[in-house]
Amino acid sequence: MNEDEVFYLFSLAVASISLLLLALILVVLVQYTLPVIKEMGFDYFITSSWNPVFGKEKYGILPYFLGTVLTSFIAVLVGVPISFGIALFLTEYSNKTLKKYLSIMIDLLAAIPSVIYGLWGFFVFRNFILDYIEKPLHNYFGKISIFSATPTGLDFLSGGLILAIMIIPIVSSVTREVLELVPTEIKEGIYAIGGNRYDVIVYGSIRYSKNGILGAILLGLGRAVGETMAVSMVIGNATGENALPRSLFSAGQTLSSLIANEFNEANPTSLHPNALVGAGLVLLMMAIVVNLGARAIVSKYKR
Amino acid sequence: MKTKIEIRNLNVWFNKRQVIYDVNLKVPEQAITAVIGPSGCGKSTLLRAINRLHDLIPEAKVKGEVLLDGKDIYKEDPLVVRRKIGMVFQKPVPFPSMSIFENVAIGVKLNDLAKKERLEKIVERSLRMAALWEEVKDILESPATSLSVGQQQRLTIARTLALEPEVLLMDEPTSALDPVSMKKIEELIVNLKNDYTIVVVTHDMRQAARISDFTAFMYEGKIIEFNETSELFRNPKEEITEKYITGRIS
Amino acid sequence: MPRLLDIGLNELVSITKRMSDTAEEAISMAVNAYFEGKNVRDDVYEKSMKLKELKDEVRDLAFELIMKYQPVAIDLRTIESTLDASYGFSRFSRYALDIADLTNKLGNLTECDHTKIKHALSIVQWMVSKSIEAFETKNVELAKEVIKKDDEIDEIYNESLTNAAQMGKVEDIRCVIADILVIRYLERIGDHACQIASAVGYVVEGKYLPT
Repeated sequence: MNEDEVFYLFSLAVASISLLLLALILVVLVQYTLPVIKEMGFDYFITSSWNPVFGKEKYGILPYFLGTVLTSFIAVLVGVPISFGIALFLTEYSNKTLKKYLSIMIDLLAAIPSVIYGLWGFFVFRNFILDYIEKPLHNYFGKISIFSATPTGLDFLSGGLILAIMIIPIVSSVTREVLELVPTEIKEGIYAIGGNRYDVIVYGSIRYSKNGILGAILLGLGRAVGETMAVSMVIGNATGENALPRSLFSAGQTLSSLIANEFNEANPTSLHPNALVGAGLVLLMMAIVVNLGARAIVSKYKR
Repeated sequence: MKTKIEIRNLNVWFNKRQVIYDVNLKVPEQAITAVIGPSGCGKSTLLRAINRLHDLIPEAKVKGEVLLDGKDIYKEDPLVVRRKIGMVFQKPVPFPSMSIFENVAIGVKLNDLAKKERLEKIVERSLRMAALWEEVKDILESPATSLSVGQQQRLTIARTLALEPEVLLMDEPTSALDPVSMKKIEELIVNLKNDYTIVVVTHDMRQAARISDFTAFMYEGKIIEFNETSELFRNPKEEITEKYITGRIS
Repeated sequence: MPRLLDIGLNELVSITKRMSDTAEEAISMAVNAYFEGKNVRDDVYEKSMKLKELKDEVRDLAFELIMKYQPVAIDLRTIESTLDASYGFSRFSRYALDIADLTNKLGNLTECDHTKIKHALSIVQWMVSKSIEAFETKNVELAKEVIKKDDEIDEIYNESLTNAAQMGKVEDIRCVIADILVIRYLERIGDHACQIASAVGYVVEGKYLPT
């Protein structure tokens, strides 16, 4: 065996580890989930009761699945336009110095540990949301079901908004990168036919980078779907029927916050741990789908 | 010959670095004026100053006057200026996700210059002037990116012509093209001079000699010599011009 | 590093040099033979053909250089004026041949008075050699002097014509004819020397010197 072959085998082995790990995790997750599915049947996925008391055990993860979808949706709905605005400002409008410092600040947002977001969300942000967003909305539009629940500040909206803030760094920096790839020729071409900045952005930058921007959004969505700590601190942590998202202002739960909240107290002899692992499996599937989607779109764009 | 554009004491800086020094130039109407010079001599910068593209770069500072028919374009709305003074760039890049038709029509649409029915006529006329109509008339709805590079350059010329400008600026319009496409574009440029005042920046001296009526030689940010093309190439007055066009400067 | 074009231009210069040498030889050969009554028509003819060949060579090379390198400015003017000069040189030998022909056709002319011809010859030979020198060294001042001299030879020619017209009694008509013709040919040679000198101005300053 020469050096080349040795190195080839070594790197192959190391590279295989990641694949092996993913496979192992999947196998274990499925293995742990099977008992609860045997017990609950397909109801595990589509019902809402959640009772870990021995003898009365019932597990349905629909509310948490919906909670994950809803909070992620809010996050994308609120976070993407802001990120997009940031990216457009940085690429099209700001001067170089401002761009440099703003970019650093935004990247720093990504470096803040999520538990800090959670703490800040719990002590500061939720009061702000409660007083300036939820209460006015509830007072004026309380008859509309999504605003009907009594606001507490610990609910889907808070969870979604915290996520919105947390996805801003990734979405804005990826969007900024794809916007920067827009050829100068296209921008100048539009200016040269009497277009203004708005025309350049609408007919040039966005059209040219639309796939990349979509990829950035999906990356943000992936982050939102998997995020645990901060969400679990502000979402209210309801379980069972109560966790079904009936209103933006009702307390809820996401798949990840459910796991984080309950794994410590789960009785190993019951199906409770299995039910939680099942939630994890569903979460992993969602994350994989979103990430693969994002990757496919971004790579198509890069070519 | 009537002067269409007069440049007076034009200076351009990028940050603190001056790249154009006191340029004075009278561009004659309905003629092709070529600007030649070694890389980095400021010829593209000069061209861009004529339709205010430097406005878009925060680091750029322009001082001096550029008169279009006697009026300083730096005292007018830049969007109107760029409509009157069209620009064709070195690399033909069609607008993304737009058909051939839309690529030509977009300028007119942006400026709300025409109703839909007239738009079709404008597109056809522009494509005809750009000598592209016969090749694309049956595929107007195809994406513009499906055209060859040479066709794309004629398309960008057509999209500029669609705005009915008075002046055409061209920044090395053939440097990205093969010889056959280059020849087509050159013929096109010469044919267009009956209707437009054309300024071509080119690093290809032979091209300047082939197509232009007047030539300006730039060196280190200054216009060294401006004359009728045949005179400048046969009998340059300045030593530095002579050295450059005979290939004695590197 | 020399440009590719320079290699061709140097070749052009060396052919031109051979032409000017041959042309000068042809002239002196013809005129000396005329004084001495020798028939050198064939020798001069040979030189004349040689010059014609070289002229074609210059033309071919000139067009090849223009085609290949599309020269401009002084390079282009050098080629253009070399074409002018090579034509001039070939004309030198053409008139030398005419002079050589005279002995051939009119017979021996050694008895005639050659004073005027000798005077004209000295001027024209000076013009020829100086025009060649001016062309080779790109000397505009010298070229201007050559052009100035043209008036003198024109005058001699006009004089010889008027004199011949006013001559009442002629001793030998052959001498009169020969006189006029030789001076006429020399005057033509002078003209071509002027053209060459004029082209020097074109090479250097882009303008032909006025003749």
